[in-house]
Amino acid sequence: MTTMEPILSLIGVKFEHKLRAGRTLPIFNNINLSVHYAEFLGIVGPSGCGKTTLLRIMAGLAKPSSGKVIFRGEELKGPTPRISIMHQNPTLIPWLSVWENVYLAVSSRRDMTDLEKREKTSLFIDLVGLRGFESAYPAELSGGMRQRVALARALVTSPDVLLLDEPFSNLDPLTAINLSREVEYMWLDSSLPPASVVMVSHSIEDVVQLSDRVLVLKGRPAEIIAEIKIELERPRNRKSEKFYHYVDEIFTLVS
Amino acid sequence: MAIEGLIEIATALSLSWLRLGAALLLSVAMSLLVGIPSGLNRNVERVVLPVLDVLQSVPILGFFPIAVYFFISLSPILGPELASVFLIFTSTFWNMAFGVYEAVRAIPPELYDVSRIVDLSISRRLRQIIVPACIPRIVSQLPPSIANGLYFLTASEIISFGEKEVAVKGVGSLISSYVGRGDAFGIVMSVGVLSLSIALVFALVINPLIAWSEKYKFEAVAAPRGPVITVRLGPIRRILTTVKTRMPTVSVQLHFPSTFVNVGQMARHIQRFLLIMTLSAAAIFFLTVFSGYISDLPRVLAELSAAVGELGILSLFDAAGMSFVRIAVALIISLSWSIPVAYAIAKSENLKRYALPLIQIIASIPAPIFFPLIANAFLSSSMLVEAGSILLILLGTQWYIFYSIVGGFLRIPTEYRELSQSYRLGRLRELFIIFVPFAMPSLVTGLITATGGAWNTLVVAERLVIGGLVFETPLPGLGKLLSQYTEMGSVYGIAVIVFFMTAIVVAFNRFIWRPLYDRAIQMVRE
Repeated sequence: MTTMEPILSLIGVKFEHKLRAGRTLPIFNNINLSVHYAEFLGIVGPSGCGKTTLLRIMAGLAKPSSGKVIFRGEELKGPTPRISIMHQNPTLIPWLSVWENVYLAVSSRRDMTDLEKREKTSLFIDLVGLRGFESAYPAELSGGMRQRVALARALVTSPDVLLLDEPFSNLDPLTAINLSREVEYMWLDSSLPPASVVMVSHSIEDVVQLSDRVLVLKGRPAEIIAEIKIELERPRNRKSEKFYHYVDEIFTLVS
Repeated sequence: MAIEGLIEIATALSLSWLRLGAALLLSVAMSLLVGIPSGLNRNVERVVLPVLDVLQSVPILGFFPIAVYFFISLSPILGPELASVFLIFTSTFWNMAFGVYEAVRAIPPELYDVSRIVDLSISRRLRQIIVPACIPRIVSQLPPSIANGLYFLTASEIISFGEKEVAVKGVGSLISSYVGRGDAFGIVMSVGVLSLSIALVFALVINPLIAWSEKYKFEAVAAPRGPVITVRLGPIRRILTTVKTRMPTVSVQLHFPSTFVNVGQMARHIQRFLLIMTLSAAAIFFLTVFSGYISDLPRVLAELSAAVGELGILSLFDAAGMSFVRIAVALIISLSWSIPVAYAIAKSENLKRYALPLIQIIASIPAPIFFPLIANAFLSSSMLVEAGSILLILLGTQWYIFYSIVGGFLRIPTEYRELSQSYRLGRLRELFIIFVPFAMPSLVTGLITATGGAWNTLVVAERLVIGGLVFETPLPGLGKLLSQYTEMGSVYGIAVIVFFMTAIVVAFNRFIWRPLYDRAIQMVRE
């Protein structure tokens, strides 16, 4: 599935939090990683190891203290609609309807006509299965539906890379599985965005279910201590012995 | 002369700060005493909050009769000092009491459960949980309280009521006497030294206190709460519902504690006991002060209706209308500069770090004492006096609006701020699609405080008397009316005007602000 061409890579990335009185708290000192074209990359690690920070650096939302982020051959200077991020919390705007929330993501685009923007908005609302809910407000939706709106909003910009930060951890298990299947389906369909996905999660099962490759982050400052290729047929069966073998292996590394 | 003058100014300044300090200490103590029981107990809350809310809308001149009759007749020597501290207290206390109440209400219930499980004694609960939880709110209310106390500096140092005029030594009365003598050098020096001392107090006392109080914040440890903005308007909302439903009776049941001591229940009994004590003390206080009036109620009523007749209902409404227009203009001006400036501050780390403390100092420099400096310019035309009056209202109230907007903007969760970055919304759309709606509850709270405060500043803004100078708006106004009646020493006139003004503030809260606040809260709830 993976080719050797990286779409997004971190080179020697260092990040530290500034504390009071000039002290700093290093989160990671030297992270090097690449996300390949059409790859689903999983990142796991114990809580507090900086997974979310790493994702925000990839999105251009946080600046590394040193090191570079290269996106499609150029240095990433700030957030771009070509890299979308979806959080654990759907972060919908409460006073905008489902349709308006999704439309917001393309509203400032100059390379699209209004008609295109509207068509795309409707298309992605359809794709996440929310047809008929366009005029509903976030407060009127269930947790799973809100996360679907967030997914539609993340994809309507046709991003090359979709970054997922614990996307299913606020959902009940059944909803989580359904939504993860949909994410997988969109990613597999080459006519639909995104090309590559990076998912951060502490649910090792979710990560093994979806990823081509898993990076294990650990320590303080955190380092990548292992890289595991998941060579299982899709769709993956969570009950198979091989699946459990991977889960066990990663679990041992994380704990 | 210069040296002597400086010594005089320094002495007066120290005395003013001492009085302000005493009033602030009293405010802290009283707000703990009143705020904690109201935060812990529904019954107390239902009684205390409406009382606080009504008293908070009484302008400082409304307290002059009490200051004169109670304190000054209590002791001719100490009385004036006590009266002055009491008057400062009436402009520093209310916001703090509401702050303590809200802080107590915001203590996570889990914490009470824990303290019940480990069986903490009541005094330990107070010392280790409840009082520390109030510290950040108390400290954050110090700047507005100081600013408010200073705003009415001259008013609280020269208590003139009819024939009686008592001035205590202080920088406010000093400036007033310089103005009376036409001593320009004295005016400039004292205003300058006062401004400098304010900056020093903030740099050396208030800002370190604010930094220290950070560690008592629950928010520092709690996980991000998501998009619901947790500004609560408990007091005002609850007050308004109570006004409608009448005050409930407080039932007292002091059971003798059984062998199995239930700490929680004992705490409640003790609170109830404290409440009864406080309420009776207050009742006795007011009864003593007004016993003369209560004994002959019919005469009082007759006097009051005579006062209403003399004032004239129509001219009361006329004055209120003009005052309202001035306040509305001041509010619109405040909003139109606060929103862009707050937005700039929320977007820039540097501005947040350096501009905010600076603005806090500027905010607490009392505007009225500057008026003698520019007196000639203002007195040259009546149009300018009207503009100056609006300027005074603005200087006294715009900060409430500004700070509530800044607070609201800064509380927007990072993930939402990043949305507009990711989708490149642009400044205007970011401001009006994300920032302003998110800050709405906070903004409405700021508007409530600002309008309430604005009605209070009217007593200085519409008719400012410093030394021999009188700045008086040519058009009518409630504050002007109140100031004139205080000068005449007409208790009944004051009572009627104060009642009228308070009724306006309460009606505003009930019919305009509360529905607006409810809608704002509804809007940001995800």
